[in-house]
Amino acid sequence: MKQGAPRRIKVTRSPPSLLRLPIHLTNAEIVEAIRTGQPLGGTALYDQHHAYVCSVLLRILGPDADLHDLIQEVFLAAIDSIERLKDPDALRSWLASICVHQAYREIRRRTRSRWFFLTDDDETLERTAPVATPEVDEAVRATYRVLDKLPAQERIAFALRFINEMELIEVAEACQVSLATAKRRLARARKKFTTMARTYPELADWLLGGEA
Amino acid sequence: MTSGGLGPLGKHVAQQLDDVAARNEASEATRRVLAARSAAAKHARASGGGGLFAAPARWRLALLVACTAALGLAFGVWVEGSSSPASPLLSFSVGQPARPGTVGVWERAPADGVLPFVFSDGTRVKFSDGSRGRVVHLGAHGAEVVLESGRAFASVVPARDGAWLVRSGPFLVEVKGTEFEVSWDPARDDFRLRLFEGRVRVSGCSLGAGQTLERGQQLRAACAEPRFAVAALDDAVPALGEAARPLEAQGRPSPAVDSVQERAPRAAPRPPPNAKSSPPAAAAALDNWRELARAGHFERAYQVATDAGYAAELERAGANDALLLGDAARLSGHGGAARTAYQGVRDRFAGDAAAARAAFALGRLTAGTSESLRWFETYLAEQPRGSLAGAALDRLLETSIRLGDKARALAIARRYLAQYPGGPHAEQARELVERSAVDGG
Repeated sequence: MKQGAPRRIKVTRSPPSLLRLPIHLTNAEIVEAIRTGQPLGGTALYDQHHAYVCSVLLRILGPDADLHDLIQEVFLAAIDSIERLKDPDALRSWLASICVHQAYREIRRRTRSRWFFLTDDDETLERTAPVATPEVDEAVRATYRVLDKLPAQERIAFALRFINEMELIEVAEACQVSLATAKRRLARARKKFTTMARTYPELADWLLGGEA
Repeated sequence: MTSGGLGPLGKHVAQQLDDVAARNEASEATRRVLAARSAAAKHARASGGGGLFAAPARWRLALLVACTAALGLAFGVWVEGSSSPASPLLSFSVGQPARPGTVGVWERAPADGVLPFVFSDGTRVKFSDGSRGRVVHLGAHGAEVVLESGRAFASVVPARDGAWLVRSGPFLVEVKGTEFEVSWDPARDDFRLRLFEGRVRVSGCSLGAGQTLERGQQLRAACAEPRFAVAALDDAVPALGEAARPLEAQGRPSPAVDSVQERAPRAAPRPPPNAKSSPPAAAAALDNWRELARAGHFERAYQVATDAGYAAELERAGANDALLLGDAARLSGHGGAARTAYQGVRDRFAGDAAAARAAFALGRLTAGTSESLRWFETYLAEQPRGSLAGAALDRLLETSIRLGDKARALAIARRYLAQYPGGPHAEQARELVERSAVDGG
């Protein structure tokens, strides 16, 4: 993306409906707008990267009824920490690392909740994901039932690599670990996933070579 | 996906989730929240705020020590109730056209109009028809609004740390993220609350320590003679019966409430009886049955589609949307409408994968009946290696056993074991086959 001298964005404070961004900003302009305290920076960041953040979170967590909250938290964290972003061109991968952080917290929260209420894994998933997204099929639901049984870090690495199709180095960057650590996590996750997935009829065909 | 048999599965999962993501449209409320945060974050950063998660690893220990040292101070600040520089106080505007709002100043809605309060986090409170009240406190994550008399509609933007209070006469409504309408008539000692979204806790007078309401419920309460009642939204406004007993410490409802709630099961919250009489913000939120269904609000989705003309909506919808509307109808208890949707998909998209999914949905709709067997068999005939094939076989086996159809159950059990020897019903299938062999011998 071409990054010229950042344009000064005209600040519009009210009414709120005018905050919708009428033009496409470069990443550098978005970052500059946030750093200089312009409301437009936040809305532009959201408008131009909402779909990506939504996609990454969904692929890590599966269909989730609380996705709106998580998406908002990712962007709030990004705005609050914008000074830590050295290269505006890396905005997208930086958002991915924030997604990983928020997803990790969410997985831990779910795990604590299950432990606290002593509920069965599948029962918990039945109450959340499938009910909220009836169009998702049984294979997807089963995939996340299995992933839900993996340790959070392994689950995230697995989802980024095998569902989000990230390169190994991208997985390592998003998880903020070394390449070697990312490889170890992936190997463990893959082994556990395939072992458990064999007990799910919805996944058996897929593991044997794909759907009809 | 780049690894062996996981490849196709990963692509399939990604594709389905992309469909979900594509329908997850940007939220105007979130946009407003982020605009406000973007404007405020510069000051927070200037004061040393910022996210910890992105800190380089070598700094984490130092940060931990610093944070520990700061914990006592932070706790003191929290106890004081003041906000940190990273969490600026909310602000609000009043009226149309908007003017800056001031804490403590009384406001009154026009006799036949509304008076909006718009907060910087996107939360909106609308006083209507001569209602009077004021904002008495602003925090970083919420505010306290007093409704002295009249009616107000509130749409509170959800936030983990959200802390909103609406004080209405002697009653206090505690809110995180929700939509509700509250009214208080001091002359008649009549408090009412209608909850469209989320969950609230109401306390005061007859409610004692508090009564939690779920979406789809309404509450009516009085103070002089402590009474209250809870009912579903589309039930008539509940009459206040005999005096309510004080709530127990654990918050268990009184017997009087139990009796009302039996008519208003929590599992099936319903929308307001007449969307046209709903407050404007609620009506605005109800304009898209697709979004509502995808968000899990099946009853409201079904009602919106019905208001728009259920048959016409089905006709306009593509296969996936028609299935979605069928699911919304099925999951909200409108089996006939669900059947219409699924059958329509089978008629209009015959031969497509969507038609097979409609067959599976019809099997689920008629679960436990011989008809469901026919639909699951249909799915398997049309998509023998489809993603729902295992589930269809599962349900076929379960249903045929339940119906006592031994011959069919045995055939399905053999088929099941051949394809899914480790499946959830494998043990049952194996037992069935072994018993049949013994009987045969």
